[in-house]
Amino acid sequence: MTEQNFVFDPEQGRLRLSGELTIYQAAAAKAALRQALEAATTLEVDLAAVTELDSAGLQLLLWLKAEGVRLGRTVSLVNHSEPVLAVLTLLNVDRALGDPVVLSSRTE
Amino acid sequence: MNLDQAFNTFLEESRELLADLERYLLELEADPNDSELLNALFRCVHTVKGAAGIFALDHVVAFTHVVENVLDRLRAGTLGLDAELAALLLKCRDHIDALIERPSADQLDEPLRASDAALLAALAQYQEGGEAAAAPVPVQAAAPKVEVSGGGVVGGDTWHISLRFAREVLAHGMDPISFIRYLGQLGELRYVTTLSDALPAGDDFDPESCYLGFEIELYSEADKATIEGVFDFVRELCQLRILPPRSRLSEYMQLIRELPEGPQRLGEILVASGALTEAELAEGLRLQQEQRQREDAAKQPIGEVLVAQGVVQPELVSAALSKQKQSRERQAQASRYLRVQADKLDRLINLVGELVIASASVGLNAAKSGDADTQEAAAAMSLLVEEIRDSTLQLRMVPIGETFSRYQRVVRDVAAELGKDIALVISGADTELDKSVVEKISEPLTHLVRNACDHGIESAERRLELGKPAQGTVRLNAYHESGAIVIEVSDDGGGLNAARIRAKALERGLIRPDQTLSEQEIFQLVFEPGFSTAATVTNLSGRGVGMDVVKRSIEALRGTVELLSSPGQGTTCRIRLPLTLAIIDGFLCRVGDASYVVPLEMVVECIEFSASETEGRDIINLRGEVLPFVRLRDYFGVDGAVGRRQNIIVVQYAGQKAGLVVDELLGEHQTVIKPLGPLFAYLKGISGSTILGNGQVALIVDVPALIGRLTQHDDALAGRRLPRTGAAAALPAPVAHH
Repeated sequence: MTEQNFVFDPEQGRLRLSGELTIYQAAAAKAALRQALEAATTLEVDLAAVTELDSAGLQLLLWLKAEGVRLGRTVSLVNHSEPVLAVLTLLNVDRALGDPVVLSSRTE
Repeated sequence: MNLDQAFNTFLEESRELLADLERYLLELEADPNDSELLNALFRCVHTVKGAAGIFALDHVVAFTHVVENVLDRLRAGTLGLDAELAALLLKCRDHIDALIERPSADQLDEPLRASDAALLAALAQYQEGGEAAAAPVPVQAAAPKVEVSGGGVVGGDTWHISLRFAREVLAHGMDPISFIRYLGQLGELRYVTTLSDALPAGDDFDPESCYLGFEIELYSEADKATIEGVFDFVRELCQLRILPPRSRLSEYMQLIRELPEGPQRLGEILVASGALTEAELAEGLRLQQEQRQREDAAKQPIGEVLVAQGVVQPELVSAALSKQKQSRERQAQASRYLRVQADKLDRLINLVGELVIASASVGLNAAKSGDADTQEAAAAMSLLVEEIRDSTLQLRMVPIGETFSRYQRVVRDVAAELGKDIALVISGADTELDKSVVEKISEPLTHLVRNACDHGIESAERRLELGKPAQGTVRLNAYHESGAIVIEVSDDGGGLNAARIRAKALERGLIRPDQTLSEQEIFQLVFEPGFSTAATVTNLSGRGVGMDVVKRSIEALRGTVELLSSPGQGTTCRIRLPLTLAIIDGFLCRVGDASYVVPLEMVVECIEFSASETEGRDIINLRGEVLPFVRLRDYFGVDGAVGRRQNIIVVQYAGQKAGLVVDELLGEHQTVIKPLGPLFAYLKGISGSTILGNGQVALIVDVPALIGRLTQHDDALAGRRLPRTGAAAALPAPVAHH
C-alpha cells in the first residue's frame, strides 16, 4: 500500500508530493495543497515522486494553479515525473498549467 | 474476452477483494485505529461497488453503498470499530459475496432478501444520524438532437468528440482519463483539449467530484457505434457528442450551442484543436444567427436520432475493469508474491548446480561418442539447462530500490536531528542483486548514509558561505559492472581532509611518520578500527565505531569498498559486491596438469605470451598500455610441462587490468561454485572450486584478490616468487594489508 506523502517545507515554499495522486488521496491532497497555499506566497510543488496521476489528481493540479492566481500566489509545478508527464501530454494540459516541463529522452 | 468472461473476471476479483476485506477486518480487531487498514477496507468495498455498477448489479451497488458509508465514517474517525460492528461487517461481507452472483435483484431468493433487510437495518444505526441509505445517484440522460444541416462540410478527417463528465463519475470508481486512453486505441488522438472551466474556485471545489470536460479530435477507421461503445460504462455519467469526419458546419454549431462553456470559448477550442478554421467558425456563427431568427419564427425539432445503444464491446468491459484491477493489484501487491523458504530455494539452486555439472558430463561423452544425434540432443539439453540456471538464479534477485527507499526515512530523521536540510537522491533502483546480499548490505549502508549526513554535509550556514545550496544532497546509486554490483553513497559536502586523516593515523600509531601514502591509501585508513576524524562526537556517529565494521561486513560478502573524495566537492563511498554466489560463466584454462577457471565476465581478451618481450619483468606492453601480469604456474606452484605456447588472459576488475599467464586456453565453461572448506578460508587467490564434466576438480581464480595484489604490491611481488611446492594448499599466508 502506498503511503501518501505531502511534505511541505514552509521556509522553502516547497511542497513535495509523492506516491499516488488519485481519487484515493484527493481529499488529503487538497487539504495539504490548501495549507501550503496559505503558508507560502511562492509555492513550488515537486512532482518528482508522484507515481500515478488520475483525473482527480489532475483536477487538483488545475485547481491549485487557479487558486494560486485567485489568491495572488506564485505556484509552479516542478520536476514532473514520468506518469505525470504522460497524463499532461495526453490531455494537452501542460500548457494550461504553464510550467516548463523537462522532456525525457528515455523511451519506455 | 466476451461479456461472460468479463463477468467471471469481475466475480473472481470481487471475491479476492472480499477475501482481503475479511483479512483487514480481522487485522483491525487487533488494532482498531490503524488508518491504513481502514482505508484499505474502504477501498475494497468501494471498488466492488464501482465494478458492480459497471455490470448494472444495482442490488449490489445499493447494499455496498450503505456499507461504504459506514466504512467512511470509520475512516473519518466518527465511528469506532468494536467487536459488534466488526462482526456485523463480516456478515455484510458474506452477504455481498452472495449478492454478486445474482445477475439482478429479481433473482434474490427469500432468505437472501431477509438477510439484506436485516443487515441494512443493523447498519442503519451506524449511519450518520441513523439515517437510511442514500438514494442511488441520479442519472443524467442526454438526448441528442439533430437538426437539418445547413452550411457546407467542414472539419478534417477526424472524429470530433465532446465529453463532459458528471460530478459523480469519480465516486463510481471510473477515471475519465482511462476512457480517453482507451479511445486512443481505436485510432490516433490528434488533439485533446481539456476543459477545466467548471472547476470551482476556493473550497467549493470537491476533490472527489469530477469537473472535467474534453474536446477530442480522433482519427480512426472505427464507426460511430464503436466510438460510442467506448463510453458505454459512463454513458449515464457523461454528456457525449460525436461528430463524424467531414461533418457539416451546422453540426459543429449545434455542438457549440449545447455545451456549457459558451460559443466564444468553444469556438476557440475548436479552432485550436484544428476541427474548424477561423473562417469556418465565423461563417458558422453567422449562420447560427440566421437560424436563430428562423427558429423564433417556427420552433420545431426535426427529429431525434436513435443511437445504437447497449452495444457492449468486450474490450471495453476489460478497460473498465482495469481500474478495478489496478486498485486490487495495489492492495494485493504483497499477495502476488509467493513466500518460499530460503532453504528450499538454496536446495533448488544446489540441484541446478549438480544438473549443470551432469549436463557438462553428458556433453563431453556425446562429443567422445561421435554420434551426431546424441551430440545434438546434448546440445539442446545444455541450452535448456542454461536457461534453467539463469531463471533459478533470477529467483533470488531483487531490485535494490526497496532497500534504498528505506533510507529516505533515515536521511529525514538524521537531518532533523542535526538541524540540516538534506535531500536523498536515489538512482539505479532497478539494479538487481542477490536477496541475501541485499539483506546483509543494508546495515553497512545505513552507517554510510548516516555518516554522509553527519560528517559529509556541512551545516546550512557553512554551505551558504561556501556558495553551495543550503540543501545538501546525499545520493544513493547502484549499477552493474563486470559481474559485480556497484553501490555508491555520495554527498556534496566538504570532502575528506587527507592531511587530517594522516595526522590522526599518526597519532593513533596506525602509520609510521616516514611512510609515504597515496591519497587513496590515506582514505582507506578511515576504515581502520577506532578511527574517527569528527571533531565532535555526535549522537549519531563519530564515536569511532562504524567504518571498520562497514568494511568488515562488505569483505564478508566478498566485496570491496573504496572512498573517493575531492575537497569541497564531497565524498563518494563505492562498494563493489559480487552479483551472485552460486553459478558463473567461467573461462577454463590449464596450467601444468591443473585446471583453473577465471570468471568469464572479468575476462577482456586473450593474447599470446612471449617471454622474450618481457625482458624478465612481470609487465608487458599491451597496445601502449602497461599491463602487469602474474604467472599462475609460479603463483600456485604448479608442476608439469610448460605449454609450448603460453597465453595471457587479460582480466579486468574495478577498472584495473592485469594478465594471467596460463599454459592452455580451454574455452568457456559453466561453473558451479563449490565453496572451499573452512580449512582454506584464508587462501588468497582462489575463491572456490568446481567440478568439471570429467570429474576433475578445477579451482576458481580470485581475480579481484590477484589484481589487488598486483597493483598495490607491484614492487613487493617482484621479489616474492613462490616456492614450487606442487600443492595449492601450501600457499603462503596472505600478505597483510594496511
